[in-house]
Amino acid sequence: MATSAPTAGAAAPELSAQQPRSLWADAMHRLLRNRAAVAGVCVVLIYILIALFAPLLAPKNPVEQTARNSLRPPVWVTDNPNRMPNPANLLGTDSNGRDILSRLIFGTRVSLIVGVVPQLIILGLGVTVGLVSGFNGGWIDNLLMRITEIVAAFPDLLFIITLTVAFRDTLFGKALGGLLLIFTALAAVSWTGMARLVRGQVLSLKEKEFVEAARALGIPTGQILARHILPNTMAPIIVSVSFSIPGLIISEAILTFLGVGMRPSVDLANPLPTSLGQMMQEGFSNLSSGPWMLLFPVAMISSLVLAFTFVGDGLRDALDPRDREG
Amino acid sequence: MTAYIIRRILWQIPVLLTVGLMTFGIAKITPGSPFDTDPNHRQLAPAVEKIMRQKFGMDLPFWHQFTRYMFFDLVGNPKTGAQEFQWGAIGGNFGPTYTSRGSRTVQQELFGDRSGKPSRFYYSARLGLQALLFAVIFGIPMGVLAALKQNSWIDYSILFVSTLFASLSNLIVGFLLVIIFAVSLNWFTVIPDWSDAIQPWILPTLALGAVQLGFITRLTRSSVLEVKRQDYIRTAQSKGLATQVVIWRHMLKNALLPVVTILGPAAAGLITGTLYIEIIFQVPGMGSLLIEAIGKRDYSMITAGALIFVFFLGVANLIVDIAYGVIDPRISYK
Repeated sequence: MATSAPTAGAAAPELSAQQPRSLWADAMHRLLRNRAAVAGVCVVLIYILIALFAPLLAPKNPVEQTARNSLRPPVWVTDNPNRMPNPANLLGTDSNGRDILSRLIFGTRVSLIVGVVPQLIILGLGVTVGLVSGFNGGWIDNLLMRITEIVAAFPDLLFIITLTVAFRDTLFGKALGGLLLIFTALAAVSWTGMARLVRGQVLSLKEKEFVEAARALGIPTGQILARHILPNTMAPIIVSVSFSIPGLIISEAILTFLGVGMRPSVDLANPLPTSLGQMMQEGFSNLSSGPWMLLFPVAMISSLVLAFTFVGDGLRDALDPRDREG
Repeated sequence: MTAYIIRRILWQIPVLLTVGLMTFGIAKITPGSPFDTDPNHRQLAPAVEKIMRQKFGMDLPFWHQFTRYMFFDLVGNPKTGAQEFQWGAIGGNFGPTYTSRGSRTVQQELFGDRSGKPSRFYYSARLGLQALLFAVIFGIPMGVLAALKQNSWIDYSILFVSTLFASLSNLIVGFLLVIIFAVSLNWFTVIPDWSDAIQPWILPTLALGAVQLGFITRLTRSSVLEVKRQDYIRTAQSKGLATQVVIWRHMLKNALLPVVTILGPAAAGLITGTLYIEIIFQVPGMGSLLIEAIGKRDYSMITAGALIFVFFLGVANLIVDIAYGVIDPRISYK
């Protein structure tokens, strides 16, 4: 964190042992005491490692198709004599004979990226609109908030689907297997919550004495915003970000399930060959051959989403001490 | 209060206009025509396509197409050649669908013709209402129970289940229900039989309502906990009132107020949720029709769907606002 002060342990020893901790050190302390949140952080870290080292971890190439090796069940499912597992494919194969375990490992990449990249756009847009709107007030505020309200009134999923269908066949829509378009579309409807949150914070902060003091000292507006107001909105922004990541991950899965998200890839060297959403779609359309093709990606996404939720809950409790009880 | 309601209703007009303009605009700039996107369909001869384009007014400038769609226009009658007045979306006429090559209108597809078959809208509306009822009927008692038994195993298990539902999204819950009850246990058929009045509705209702159930449970719980700590509860208890009276008269009456506010966002979640829940459970409702329409670039259907969704969202939010003002006299609308 940009504003984190030295913690009690690192402080000079001649100061009293009761040296006050900064907000961030205090929050960190509370977060580490929350077992669910620590477990969530661990799960997220494991997923990040899986995504980073996917080529090393995956036993097979995730897009390589093997003839006469399709729709194999996981190795422990041996009750159907017509469809026996192949010991080489630990979690079985899909309808094209591709190794499910390898696809799962590579699929986590897209889920993590889709949780992060649109988030950056949302942050940029939402924080800017919120800051400008809240700090300026007047007609600018009115106009920006009306726009925000209209965008928020859209049924987001329907709008995202319309957007992705409209731009699907353009150069932009084909970039990164359609991922770039998904990022943009997701961000285009999701920034409104962030804008409202930041505006609300700024509205109350700008009446505070320290902002008034800064203004009286003749500090330019931009500097007041960047140095005095923005750092004080960090806590709610971080909480809101950690809660919106699971939503983005699920949205990608929904879009891909509906057939307007990521495109299937046959490129053996593609670093982002598939997504968990795509695996769900394939699993769902092959449901009659066995539930595991759907079950595995569902389990992966569930654990990832739950982990982020626990981290979010922990962060909220840690950064907003008012909520600590109950 | 009346002024507030009127202002809220008036505010819906620019919202609906913008939503209509954006959806209509996006649909129009999409490359490809609605007559060449379905490879399974017989392709149109160029001469026929020219007639179709004329029939749908696709040769008109964009603003004219949009105003014809949204408001009204004078349209030439192909038989008599006379100019006739025709309402647009504000008069409930969303125009002919492209998929049907103009033989059926959007409102016939969505709200049914006079054939007596249940309409697309009926399926979606019934599914949404059932899911909402399910979430409220189970969510509120579960939240109250968890709060009254705070920090017991009952509280923890309810909290765990509701957190699970609230964060997993109905897509995942839907898949899990299909895997458990339809594929593994075989209690339900994967391909539903809609002539049955109850059986095919169970799984989609549970899946669609699960997320709202989680939110309502969590909100009820924290709201009851908040009220439990208030001075007036302690006063009531120290007066020696029976526990039941304190819980019902003093606690719940105040604790359930904030729960009403979640019904607005809940309606939004239910409405967008129908888009994929209907696909998973093969419900012949508006959601699955819209997904189909988007794939086929059926402009009039896409725009109609967005307008209808936004309209119902606005209505739901307005009802919630008014209900909140009625049950909580402390709220004043300016």
